[in-house]
Amino acid sequence: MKPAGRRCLDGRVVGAVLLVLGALGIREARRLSLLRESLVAGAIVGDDTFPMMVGAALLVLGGYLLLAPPPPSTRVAWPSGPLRRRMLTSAATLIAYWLLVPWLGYTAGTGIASTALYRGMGGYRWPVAVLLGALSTGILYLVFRVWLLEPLPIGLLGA
Amino acid sequence: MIPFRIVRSSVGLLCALSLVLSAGAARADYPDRPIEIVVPFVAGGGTDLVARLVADYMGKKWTQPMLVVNKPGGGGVPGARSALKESRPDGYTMLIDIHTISSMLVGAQKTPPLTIADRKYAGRIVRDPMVFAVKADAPWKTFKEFSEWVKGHPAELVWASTGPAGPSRYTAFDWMTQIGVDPTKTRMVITPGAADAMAKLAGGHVVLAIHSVAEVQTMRDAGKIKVLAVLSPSRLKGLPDVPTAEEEGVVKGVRVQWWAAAAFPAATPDPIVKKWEAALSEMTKDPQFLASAQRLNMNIDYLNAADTRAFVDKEVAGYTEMATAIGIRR
Amino acid sequence: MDVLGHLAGGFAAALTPTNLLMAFVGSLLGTLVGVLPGLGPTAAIAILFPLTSVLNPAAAIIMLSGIYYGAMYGGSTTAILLNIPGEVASVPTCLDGYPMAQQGRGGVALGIAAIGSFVAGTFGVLVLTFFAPALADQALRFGPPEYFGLMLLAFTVVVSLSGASLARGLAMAMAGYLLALIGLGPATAEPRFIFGFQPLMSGVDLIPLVVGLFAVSEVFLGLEEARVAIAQKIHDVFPRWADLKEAMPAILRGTGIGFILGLLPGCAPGVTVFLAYDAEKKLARRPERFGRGAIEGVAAPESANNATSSAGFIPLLALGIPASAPLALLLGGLTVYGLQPGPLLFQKNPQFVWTIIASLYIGNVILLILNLPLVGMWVWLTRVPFGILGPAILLLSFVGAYSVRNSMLDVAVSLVFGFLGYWLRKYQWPLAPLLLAFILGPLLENNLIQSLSMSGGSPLIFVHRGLSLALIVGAVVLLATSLIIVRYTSRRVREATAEEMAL
Repeated sequence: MKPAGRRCLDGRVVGAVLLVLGALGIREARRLSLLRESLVAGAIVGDDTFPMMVGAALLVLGGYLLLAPPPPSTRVAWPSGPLRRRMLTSAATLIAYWLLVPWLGYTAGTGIASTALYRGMGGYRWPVAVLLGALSTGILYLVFRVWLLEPLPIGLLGA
Repeated sequence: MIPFRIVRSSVGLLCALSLVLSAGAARADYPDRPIEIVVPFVAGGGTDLVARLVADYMGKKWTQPMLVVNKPGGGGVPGARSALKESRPDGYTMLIDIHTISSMLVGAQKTPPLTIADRKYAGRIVRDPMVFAVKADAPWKTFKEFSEWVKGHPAELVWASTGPAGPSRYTAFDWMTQIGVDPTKTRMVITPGAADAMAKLAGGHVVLAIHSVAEVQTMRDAGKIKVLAVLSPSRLKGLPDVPTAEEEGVVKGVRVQWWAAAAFPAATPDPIVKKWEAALSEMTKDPQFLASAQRLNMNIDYLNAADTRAFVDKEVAGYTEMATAIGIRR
Repeated sequence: MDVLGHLAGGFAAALTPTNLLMAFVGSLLGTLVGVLPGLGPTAAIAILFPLTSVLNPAAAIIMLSGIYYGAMYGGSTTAILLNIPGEVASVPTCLDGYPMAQQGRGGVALGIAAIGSFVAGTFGVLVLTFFAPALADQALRFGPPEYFGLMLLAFTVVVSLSGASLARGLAMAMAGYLLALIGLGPATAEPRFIFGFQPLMSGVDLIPLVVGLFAVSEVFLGLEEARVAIAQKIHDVFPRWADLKEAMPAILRGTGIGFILGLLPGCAPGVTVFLAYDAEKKLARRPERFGRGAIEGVAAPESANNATSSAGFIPLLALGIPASAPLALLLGGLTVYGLQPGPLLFQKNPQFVWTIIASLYIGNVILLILNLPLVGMWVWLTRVPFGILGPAILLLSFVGAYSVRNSMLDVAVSLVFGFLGYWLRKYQWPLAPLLLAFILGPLLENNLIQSLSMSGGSPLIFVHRGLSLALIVGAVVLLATSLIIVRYTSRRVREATAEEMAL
């Protein structure tokens, strides 16, 4: 049982975001409507048509969600304590991975990131994590670079 | 129980290893490691197939793997940018350049994202002329007859164009201008690719499609479409019974055609580019290579580096003029 | 009959040890690839080109076809066992497959998926054998107005995927549509929604989006739930006769829908599976079972998936038109060997064509053998501790997303939508509408623009052409039906929960 009139946080957040997106849509549509040509679709429809329609729909839906009552039975429990720490570190590791790979290249980047992930998510001791990390890096390299001949990011140091 | 030291030393080892590897690389002969050939279009398409043929030949010649890297999307521009501007100009990244991301791009935009000066050509490899294709059972027997009909019924001409400002549109514009038809009276159907346009043509949803020879070959062999004329200075060996547009007295001059060339970032050292130029010249004379190309309906037409550059510059002039006349130059 | 004679010859050639090995290797590789998120058949088929110089044409194409089929099978395994779709076409399978696994019926789900795929695949190849050129010609009659009608019809599926709140479903769909608009506009090639950020010119790619929304988010959800492994053991590996009977109508319908739509170039499995799922939901006696472990919810999309894949060979071989990216690669493969697809292919290289067709049959059998009894082998996936599986999936997603277009932007997309997906799923926002709108949006827009270009701006073109009119009317009817069913279902759900609470 929850108290009546509970604020629907997620609905409001999404609603607000959609309102912004809708406004952007309409703005793009305005800009594009000037580029219509009679040669294409007889100038009835252009690149601006769907941005306009989607933008309008987003404005309507965004507004509705902002003001609408919450749907029934959604109790959302957010993680806390050590679990939350683990999740945040994992997320941070991934972001760092993305930022650093252009510099470190695939091998070093994946090696470090995977080790961090195995330690963070799996809670393994450092030596085990490093081993698992090295294994993962190696296997992925074999699958993508050797088997599928997909080049992997090189990075400044050439690996 | 000293975990941190282990981590530290392994990371240190990795860095040292990488340094040694890259340092060693700088001193050896070119090429001493794999070369990336960037194709800014999807795998399996015309540009991609050229790249793979080249990769196959050069890989054997220099005993280093040539990696074909597809970076499709955005009309080919982001992929080309990454090859020409965002990679190291050390000769280990090459781009397969085609007209849509070079001459046509520069012609259509006052401030293009890529200029011809951004590239150093090693040589042109393929040249594929445009053809005018209609449905197999269409009533017109010659290109001249067809052009006459278009003059009389421009609003009935529903034609397929790859992209809103692609080679089809330029060719169509050139043709329509020369026969005295106002293009805005016709109906242009934009398709994302040649295969889509071919399907529409065979299905009777469009009347005309203008594409390169290789792109129409399949449908032509299937007997669903016929080619009325080819836009080329002289008849093609592969299409001996198809007249040129000039022969038909309809279109003078060839300003639009599909071609593919090998290009490097502008700052790439000259010796490397020269090495490629010589290798390409050799490749385009190799019988095995020619045979493979033949199987793919690819028209090999080599030009050396300097001539390629001149050719592209001439195209730029042509496209600039056409784009301005059409009104799409922005 | 001549055809049977050719087919017999084809089988004789296809059953040689080399070609059998190729089929087996291809199927195995394909299944493996399908299991890995972010890695689809396109990436796997790219193996072709280096091998061109080594293998003879038939062997190479057989292996590639095996990979293509296998990938379709593989995607469903992780969808059912881990709630992670191996590729786009496996997304609906998650909706009911994973709940089934949680109820201890994972083996049944896997078994039905395998059988459904086999039935659909075999049906597809049978039709290919006898009717390929004729069907291909018919498919050509589908022009832009008809495609527009079809996409409109497919769009109505969003309603039934919205779950409890229609507004939320539509909101997600519109957000997905907006994402799809990023990139170059179809009518002007003018960049849309990039706001000066050059890398966005290529738009958002489907695979990184799916990887992020479904794989990355799933890992974080799993981490949170402190998942050890799938709690329920996989008891029954083989479906019982009763399950088979329950699923068979869905299999047949899914096959039908998947096949007919798969004939149309441009109608990829990603679209047909949703339509098949939706059709089952609408025809079911108790639609509220869907999303909670309804066996039809697994049977229909899986069958549709394979039917569409098989049907895709028809325009490919008969006309040289690829229906999707992996088939485009196959086409490239054929071209490399100098084999021009088209009716002439059947005449000029009959031996080759019939060997391929025969090996498609064989491929289906091999995959059934690989998947049914060896389902137990896939069980090891669930025994792997999450501490290893989680990071592995994340790493794979990262590298897989990169490999699509060799772009770090795609990886960023995966990460961003991974976190976004996690947040949205916590609050139970439906993600399937986002995905569907993302796929259908551009198709709808392109076909509308093309149709109006053909008619010079007159919307009457949709009315003058019988087929397109029929499809548009069908879309309206389907929309109305969906809305009615949604209200009915939510009422039943509320009644059911009220009953539970009253007890």
